[in-house]
Amino acid sequence: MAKILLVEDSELVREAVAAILEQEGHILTIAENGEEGLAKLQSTAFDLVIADLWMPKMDGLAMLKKSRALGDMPPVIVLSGGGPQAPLELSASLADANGAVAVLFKPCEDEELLSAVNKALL
Amino acid sequence: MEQNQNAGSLAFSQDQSNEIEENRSRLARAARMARLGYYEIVFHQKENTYWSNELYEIFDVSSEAGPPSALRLLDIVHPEDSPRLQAALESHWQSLTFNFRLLTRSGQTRYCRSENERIFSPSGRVTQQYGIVQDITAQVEADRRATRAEDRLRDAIESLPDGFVLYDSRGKLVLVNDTVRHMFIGLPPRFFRAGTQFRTLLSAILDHDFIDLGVDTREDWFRQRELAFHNKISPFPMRTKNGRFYLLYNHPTGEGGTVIVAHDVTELKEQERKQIKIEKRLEDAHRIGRIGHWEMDFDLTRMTWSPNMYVVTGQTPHFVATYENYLSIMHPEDRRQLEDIKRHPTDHSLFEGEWRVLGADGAVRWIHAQWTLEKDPETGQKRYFGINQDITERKQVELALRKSEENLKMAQRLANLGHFEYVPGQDEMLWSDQQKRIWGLTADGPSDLEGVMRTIHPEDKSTLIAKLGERGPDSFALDTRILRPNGELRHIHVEAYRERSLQGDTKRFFGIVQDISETVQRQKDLKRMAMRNAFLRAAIEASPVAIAVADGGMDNFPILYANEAFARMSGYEIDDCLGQPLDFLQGPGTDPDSLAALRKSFELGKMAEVEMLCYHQDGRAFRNLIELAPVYDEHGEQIAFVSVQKDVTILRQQEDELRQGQKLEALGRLAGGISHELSNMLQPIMTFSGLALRRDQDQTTEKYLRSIQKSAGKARDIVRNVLAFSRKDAPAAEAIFLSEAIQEILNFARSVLPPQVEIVEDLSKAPLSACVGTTELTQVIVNLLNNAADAMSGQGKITVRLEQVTLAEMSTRLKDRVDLFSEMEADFFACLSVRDRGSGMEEDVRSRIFDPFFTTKPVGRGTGLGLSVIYGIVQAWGGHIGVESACGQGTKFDIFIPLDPLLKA
Repeated sequence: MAKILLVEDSELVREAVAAILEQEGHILTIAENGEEGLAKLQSTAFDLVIADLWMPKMDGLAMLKKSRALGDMPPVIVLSGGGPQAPLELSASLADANGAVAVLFKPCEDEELLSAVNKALL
Repeated sequence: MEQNQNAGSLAFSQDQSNEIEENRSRLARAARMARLGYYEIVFHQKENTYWSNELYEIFDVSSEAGPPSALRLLDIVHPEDSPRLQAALESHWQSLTFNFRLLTRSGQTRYCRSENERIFSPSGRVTQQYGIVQDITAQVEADRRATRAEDRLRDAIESLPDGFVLYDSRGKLVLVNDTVRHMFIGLPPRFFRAGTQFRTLLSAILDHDFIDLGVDTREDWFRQRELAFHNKISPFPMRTKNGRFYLLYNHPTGEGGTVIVAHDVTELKEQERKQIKIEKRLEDAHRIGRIGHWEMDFDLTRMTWSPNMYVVTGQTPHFVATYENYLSIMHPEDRRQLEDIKRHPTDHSLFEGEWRVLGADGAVRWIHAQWTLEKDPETGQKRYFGINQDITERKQVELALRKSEENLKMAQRLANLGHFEYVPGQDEMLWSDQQKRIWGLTADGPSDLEGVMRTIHPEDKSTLIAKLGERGPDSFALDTRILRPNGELRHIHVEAYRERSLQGDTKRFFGIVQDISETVQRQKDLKRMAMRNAFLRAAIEASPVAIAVADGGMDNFPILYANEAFARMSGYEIDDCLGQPLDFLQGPGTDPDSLAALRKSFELGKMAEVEMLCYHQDGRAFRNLIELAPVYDEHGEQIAFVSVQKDVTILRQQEDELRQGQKLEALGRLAGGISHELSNMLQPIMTFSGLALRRDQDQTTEKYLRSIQKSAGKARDIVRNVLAFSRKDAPAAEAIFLSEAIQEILNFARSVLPPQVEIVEDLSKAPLSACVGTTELTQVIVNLLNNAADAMSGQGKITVRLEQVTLAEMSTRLKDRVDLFSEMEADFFACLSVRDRGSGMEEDVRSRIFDPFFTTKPVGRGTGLGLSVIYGIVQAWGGHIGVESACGQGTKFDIFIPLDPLLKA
């Protein structure tokens, strides 16, 4: 059981991810964008962050960079949906470069997500 | 004999002795007158000889001693006759007559005739011999005289230059002279023998072809001559084949015979003929010289014209020649000439005049007339005699000549041709007007050489002076430049001739000068134009664009000119192109519509731009962009078509590719946006369907949920591919070694592909490095292998080959698409080939394989984005894709990856 921050702008994705993780007993905190996520990271300690990359106001990468700059960072799993501005490969490499422990592409399967989460929490 | 009998009867009767004596004396008288002697010899025991007195006288011997002996007699006979006489007397004869000559004692030759008879006894002995001897000297001499006269006559006749033939009254030939024999030399002599009939001789000379019958037939000729002979018609002509002409005169003789005298008039005839000829010539000369003559009485009453007068004055033969009428046909302005002269006639003066007369045909003739007043040699009266000559032509020539002189002057001016004369001794230069004009002078030019030289261009002076020097040539031609007073430069052509004195000194120069400035300028222009033409031609030759010119005047528009680029484009030699119809590159695949458009522009003479499929000499098809324009000559006549042609095959491919790229880019942006949203939506579908599945379900619900999951999975695949395809520029990847990377990818692929698919590797061992992402490379290879496996229905060999190629090799492999490559191109490429032995593709499929969502796979098997993604990736690498495919034989993809230039080195 871990405290997990989910930074995701899409409500559909939030609900789905939450459903998977809560079923496993994890406690989820939701942030709808990078800004919100960054605020939550500074106020609360999390075991894991699952972040979308491209979000309004502040994207996932910016959030990661800023948070890292502010202090210790919990492990981050990037869950990217890609898009015209965010090809999958680019997303992956960017995530890698910014210390993401795993990069997942939406839509990801339950097992995929859970195994990444478990691996990150070890 | 009678005398002998009379002599024998003397002894018979005495009664009649008186009468006998009387008779005897008469006989003796007669015998004496006839100088006839008698002898008698009786051979009775002894010889008893009796001579009459006359015999003694004839033999001029004395009768006193009695008859002389035979020997004595022979002595008196002329020695030339005595042997013949002796022989005659001694021979055995009964009757004998002979002539012989005597030489008398006085030396006289006497001609004698003797007749003798003998009487024989029955035993054959001569018993008696008697005979007479008559002195025929007078007779013989008379004969002789007669013969001599006849001979002379004969000689005279023989030597007559005229032919002479004498016939007797019965028409028999008596004699012909030598002239006649010569006339018919070769005629057998028998025809000239006495007694030959006239007609026999006439036939003979005809038969022997001596006669020139002229127009007569042989029979006519014969008959006419015979008639003339018998009727004594004279003269009668006769021509012989040897060209002689005779006049025959038939004269009757006193004895009823005929003499024919043939008078040779050949020479006369010849002279006559010549005379006629001369007259004819004179007449001809008059006719040719257009001269007529006339005579007129002094009182102008009667006038006679020669036939040529009518011709010369152009009058019809009906013209009545009178003085007044002649005046009437004269030009009114000219009549005065004749009237003046008429008023003051002077004997033997030659008058002359030229005037115009009006011919009956309405044409005006110029007449040169000469006439004189003379005395008629016959009547002694004064009369006019004159000639008229038609000098119209001469007048015309004179007029033309005058005109041509004027023309010459004009021509000289037009040709800018002047002339000069220079006398070195006096240093004097004479200028023609035109030369002044050429020099731009209004007054006379300088008269001395130095002055002239000042007008010559400084650079040309020395040449000219050398030519004019004493050692210069006798004639020369040169081009020089002069300076006009206004400073204008003119080009002058000079030709001069030097006249030398007997001592060899130059007397003078005569020459012409021509202003050739315009010619020089034109030549310069022409040269420039020629150079420009050559330049233009060279430029057209070197043009990178194919240019062909076709004859617009012929039906099939044969090519008149083609440049090198045309030859290159078409693959034909230039010479082979010439004469070919302009559309000779077209073939079965050529679009009939564009061909029709082309033809229409030919016909209408309009410009056209048509793109059509044409065929290279080796059979390869290419897209030919033809621009066509009519060519006109200076009269605006359409003479040709010029066509500029360009092989746009590659351009069209590039355009296609560009279009493809743009299409993909736009699509990618769109797809990227959509798929991002779709990804988000797919997440809950997948998640919740998965969660739902983990709960207890009845079988139907579970089946439904699995279907949802499966569909979501497919949707996710599509979205991922779309996202991959829509990716923007990938970050510069680090260079990797291709062989190793590919090796790994193949190993991975083997685990993914169906087990019956065998991958055969042929990877270069060379360290080929390129800046490509491994993920992308994987995506490319796996995609190609998947397609290959599908094409082989999941079983068979796939060959993967990696090799290094040069830019040129790549160009070749990509079918000459050399200008696809910018100058940014790498020099070397890795060529990754994936080849299957599968079903292959039709051309229409092949051309669309890179289109997004194009797939040949069954619904649900492919996304239709695989090759689009590969295309995008390879383009991003700066590489190229080549596809070769043949239906039923398989497909080969060549992926050209630019090698990292740093590592390559």
